[in-house]
Amino acid sequence: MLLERGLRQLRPTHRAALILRYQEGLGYGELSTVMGVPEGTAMTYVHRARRELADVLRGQGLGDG
Amino acid sequence: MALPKRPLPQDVGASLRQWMQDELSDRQVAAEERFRVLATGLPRVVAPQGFEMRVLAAVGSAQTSASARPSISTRLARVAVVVLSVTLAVYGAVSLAPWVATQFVSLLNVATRGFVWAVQAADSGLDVWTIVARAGRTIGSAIAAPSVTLTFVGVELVGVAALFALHRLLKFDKETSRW
Repeated sequence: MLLERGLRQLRPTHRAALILRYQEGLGYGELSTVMGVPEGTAMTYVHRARRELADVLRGQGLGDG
Repeated sequence: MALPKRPLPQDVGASLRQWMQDELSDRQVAAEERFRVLATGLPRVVAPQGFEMRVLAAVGSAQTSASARPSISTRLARVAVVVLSVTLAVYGAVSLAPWVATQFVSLLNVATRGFVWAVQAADSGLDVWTIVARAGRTIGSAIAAPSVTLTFVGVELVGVAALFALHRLLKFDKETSRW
């Protein structure tokens, strides 16, 4: 699956943030505890990871048409 | 807390493209909602067998080694004690060397004269108690000299201070290793 392949190309911190947030369903507070970073940083990780994933997929030609 | 699973959209490709558009156009709320739905289609990440046990073992050993290691303040205190001791020892050796040499020579003189006196006294028939009393008076007068007394007091004070510092360090070390 495209999304899974794109995820593998993210840096580990971003990949972990996305998996914990959207697969495990963690809130940002829980995410900050698990990752050992402040809550604001956890939110930033998630947003940047999604953005990075979108960029990766666009780089693979998805979303052009 | 697990999020409720939602059915994947029929056209995953179209949803993916829509999410990307939202994402790249900074429509954060819409992008998050779309990605949440898309992520339900991702395969679950499963930890390899024994992973939890390995993590617990690693955490346990990390805690043990961290508590066994002396803290930075302990190490700094040790270095300070060593530096202070060496400085005192060097300063003492340099400043006391001439005095020690003088005292050693005078001690030799006293010992020689005392020996000669003892031999003469024994020849002239003095009893043992007279000789012991004379020796005692000589030793007593030497100890009663201010310079000698001050030296003894100084050496004792340095020794007490060093013992106190060592005791504090050992106590602190024992407490930190208990944590």
